[in-house]
Amino acid sequence: MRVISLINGSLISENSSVYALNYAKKLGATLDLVHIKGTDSLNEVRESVEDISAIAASLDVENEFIMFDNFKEFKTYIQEKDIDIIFCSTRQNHSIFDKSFVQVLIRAQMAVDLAVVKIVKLSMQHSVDKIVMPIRSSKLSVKKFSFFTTFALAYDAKAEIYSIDKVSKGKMATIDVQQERNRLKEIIFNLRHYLRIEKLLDYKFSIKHEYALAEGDRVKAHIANHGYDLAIVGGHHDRSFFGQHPIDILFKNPMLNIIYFIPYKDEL
Amino acid sequence: MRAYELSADRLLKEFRTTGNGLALSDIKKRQADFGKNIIERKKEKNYYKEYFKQYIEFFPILLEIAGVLAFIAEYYQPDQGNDILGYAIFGAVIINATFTFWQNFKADKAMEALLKLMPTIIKVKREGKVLEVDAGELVPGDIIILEEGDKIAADGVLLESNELYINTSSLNGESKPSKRELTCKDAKREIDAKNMVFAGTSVVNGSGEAVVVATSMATEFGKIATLTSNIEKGLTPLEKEIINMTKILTVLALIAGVVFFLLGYFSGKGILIAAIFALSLIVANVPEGLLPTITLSLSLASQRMAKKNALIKNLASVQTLGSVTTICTDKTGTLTKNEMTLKEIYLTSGEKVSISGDGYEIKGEFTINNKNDNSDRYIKRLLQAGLFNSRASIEDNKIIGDPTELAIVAAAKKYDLKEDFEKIKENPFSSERKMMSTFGKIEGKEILLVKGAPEVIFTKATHYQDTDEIKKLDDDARKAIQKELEDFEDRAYRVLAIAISNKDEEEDLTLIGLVAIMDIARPEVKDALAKCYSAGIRTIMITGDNANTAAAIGRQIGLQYDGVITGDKVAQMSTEELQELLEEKTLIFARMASNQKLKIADALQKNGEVVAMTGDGVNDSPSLKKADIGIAMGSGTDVAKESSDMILLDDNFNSIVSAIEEGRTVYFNIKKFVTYILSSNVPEIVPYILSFFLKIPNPLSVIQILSIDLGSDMLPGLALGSEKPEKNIMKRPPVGKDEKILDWEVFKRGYFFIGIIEASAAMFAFMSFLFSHGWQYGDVNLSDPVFHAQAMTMTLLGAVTSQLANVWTMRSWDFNIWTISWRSNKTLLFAWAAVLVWIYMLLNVEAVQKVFNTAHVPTTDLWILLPFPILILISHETYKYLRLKKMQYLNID
Repeated sequence: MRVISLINGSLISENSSVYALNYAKKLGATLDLVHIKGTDSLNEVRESVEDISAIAASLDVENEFIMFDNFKEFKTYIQEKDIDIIFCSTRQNHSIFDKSFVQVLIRAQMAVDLAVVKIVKLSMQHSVDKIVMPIRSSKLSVKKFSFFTTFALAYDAKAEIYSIDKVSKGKMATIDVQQERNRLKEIIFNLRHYLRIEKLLDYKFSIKHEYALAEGDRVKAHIANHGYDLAIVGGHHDRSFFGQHPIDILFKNPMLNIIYFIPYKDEL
Repeated sequence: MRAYELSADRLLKEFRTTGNGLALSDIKKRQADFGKNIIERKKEKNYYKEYFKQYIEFFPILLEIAGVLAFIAEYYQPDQGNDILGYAIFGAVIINATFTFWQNFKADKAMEALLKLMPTIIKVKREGKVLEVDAGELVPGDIIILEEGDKIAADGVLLESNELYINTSSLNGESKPSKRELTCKDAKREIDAKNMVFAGTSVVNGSGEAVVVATSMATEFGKIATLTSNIEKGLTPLEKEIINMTKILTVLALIAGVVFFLLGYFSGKGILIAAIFALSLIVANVPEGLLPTITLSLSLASQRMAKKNALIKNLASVQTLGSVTTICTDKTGTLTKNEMTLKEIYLTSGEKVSISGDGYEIKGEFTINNKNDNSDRYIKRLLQAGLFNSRASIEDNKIIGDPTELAIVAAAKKYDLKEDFEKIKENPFSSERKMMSTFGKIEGKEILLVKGAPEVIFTKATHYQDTDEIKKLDDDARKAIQKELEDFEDRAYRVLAIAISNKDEEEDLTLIGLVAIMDIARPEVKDALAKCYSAGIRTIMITGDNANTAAAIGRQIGLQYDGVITGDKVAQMSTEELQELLEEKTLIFARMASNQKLKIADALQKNGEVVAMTGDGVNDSPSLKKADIGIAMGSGTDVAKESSDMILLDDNFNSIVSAIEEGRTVYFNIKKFVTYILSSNVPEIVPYILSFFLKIPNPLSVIQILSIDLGSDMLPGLALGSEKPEKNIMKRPPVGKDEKILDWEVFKRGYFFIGIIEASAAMFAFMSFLFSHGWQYGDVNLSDPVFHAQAMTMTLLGAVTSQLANVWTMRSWDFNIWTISWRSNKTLLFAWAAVLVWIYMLLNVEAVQKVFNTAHVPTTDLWILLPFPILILISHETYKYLRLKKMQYLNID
């Protein structure tokens, strides 16, 4: 199994690679540090490779630097190898789908999962104490859960699944404490198969639930209030689905590093 | 490893920078990678859009359809007055939309106040040169230069620190400047790292250089900004009530409309007539004046509250106050005066001195136990040591300085201590030394006066002053003094030790005594708390003080609590654990960081509590927003004030309780005028229904219905909104938790009791007028329009005069009206007079008659209206009397 981290010599790609490294270590995978030639400084890329390789060595993760002349070659490589996931950082100025390299990756429809990493805090990738994954109601795919769990285990972090139900003002007026408690029970019941896995892995995550008028705002406030080090949010390949998706709100100007996990095939 | 845990070299390497800063060529790339260093502002609401939304809610849509139907009816049946009806209905829609908008929407200026803490220009080192750049251009890896007075634009780890002190109050509420160092010590979080500086804070003293490690929303300040702008306040109880009321009343109106449309259509009256009939019923059922009356009533209440030092910022909060179940209050300044008072002195010679007079009063008595010949001399020396080691002053009502020092200055003034000290040298106080000393001359003799923390002075003291002589401070003496110190501390005193020496050295000191200082509780708080308890409201004290002090103040003011919990324990608890704890116990929260308030508010709200939370700091802003009622102190920061629902102009806990009383009053006043307004729906509906089933002319036109809803009911309704608190108001449980405004009692009194009498009044007036003027049963289409108008006027007056009695008896929900002074509500007297003038106009002014289909009715016919208002008065008063007898908890006599 191989994990790819795309690098371009920037600080954010280097930091993103550290997340990839920890992920690869947990899965016993090899990390491919991949650079696709373009306008980036090759010196900076090489410096990055050296830095990441040093960390990889300290984590005892096998790694390899591969440079491709163009995207086509890279795509071919993906098709030929057993690639688990591609980690790719994205710039703060980019919304996830704005003319970024991430967009190219998504449009390429490669048979591989994507982890789009937005770095806003450097040096946080080395130790993650608290990790959160916001979900809508009890919608949680196996792939997303497994990605989230891998990270939680890789960093031995306290993990939380934060479920949000968006409701109208009228509905909000009728919700009382008991209903909120019942809804949490319902969510836990719906996610019980994941809780079983949790027991098998001897690992514990917490589930929280809240009703909200605006999902994005509520998640942001929750993150700001609970001091998480990393957020993992789920996404889809199909951009048109989103429109004003709350995840976009979360991804714009985040207050912590976020990994946007886009599984190859969406599934609930 | 976090950035603050890294060595300087490693930090620079991780951030790919050097001590000379970034290369200019790197800046653009980093700005693209990390974005601009700006605090994101939420997109402002489009107020036109918000206003427009008020027209597309279910309730207004219903009326809009009714209005359109009226215009259609006018098209097919011109000159029937349907056009006036159409205009009137749309007028009602506009009034309702405008009032709803006014009540619900206000500009959120908290972010604006918050952003003022951020600088616009900062000094940064790039390529070895110090440049002044726009703060928004900062990127991680930049080296920022910090100098006294600078505002800080990003989070950074220090590379250099020269006596650097920063004011971190915006982040942690700590008012004292915090010294910055080059190591993080054992910090677990960035905010606790002593080698970090933070965006939104400022340099108070010294200078330094730091590597920027976080910009924009990733800073600690960004988190506060996120919380401030994204915290979703739940709906207020009143908003919930209005949603529920609107739903119920709209459904009732719709059902009535549909049923009678079908009845009309199938009885062969034709679609148009059936539609107009249905429309009339819908209009009659919808209390168009309700929302404007609620809004105006809240507005009047907020004006009354302002007179009691509670400035309301959000109208709906007025009623929320009435529903408050828990008050989370700061200690200092709210429960206490925030005026430290020197209350007791212990002289090492054995005397104990108590001093009267609170706060910074300069008059008070010294009472000395075991007085001896030297007592006065030692007290004088002790006060001299305190006074001359202080920079505080109290002169002609001008109070300047640190509260602890002010307490000593006030005590010195009480003692009438003359300044006969010639200062030679001062060794200033610092938080590291925890002491201060001044060397000088008193009556020509050199002396060192020392004041400081007991644990520090005890280590430097070798002797103590006994009754007649200076003795060696042996273990027994130490133990005795330590015992006195512990006694003071147990009683929540802040204690300072005083010592002297005849050398200019802070060693080998002679201990002369201890001074015990306390922030005295506000005298009115005890009664206010008792009022809270009888009103079923629990009070939770949240303070940065230690557990002992917090508990002692709690006891002093009569606070009911089950235990004290400290901030570090709260930090380890999950919200759920805290929820459970707060469900079972009332706690005092001591040693709390103010950012933990949000957790408390959250836990309490999840337990179903309606929470009022006080705060004054920038970092209190999220909890003020989160609480159902955020209460900012008048002396607090702009950010806190902008984030709150209410501002306490005098910082006084008592004013919160007064505001709650007013909130409860408003709740019951709303209940009263909702009942009052619903009562008039019955005489509006019943004539229509009867005219459908009986062979009688139309008793009331739709425009006349609107004249009641938006005319004659409005002022008396508002007057009910201005009623004074009922005498049991603070002796009952918080409102709204298990009760609704529109409950069965309101329906019972409004629709089925007073409403029925009013409908009888209206129909009796109509029918008796018809019969007394020769009308024969079955004559549906009256040939004389004036006669018909006169009869309809009688119906209208039947309802209006009944409402005049109704408003009077509705002044109290529980008590008989003779227990209330008839002059205590001047608005009601004015409203009454206004309605009487309105009746006169309906009867005599042609222009009014034309619009409202009324006509002059001879006075001899009007007497028939009299019995029903009297019946309403007698029956409702009897009902209240019997009900009160049943309900023991209301019977306070």
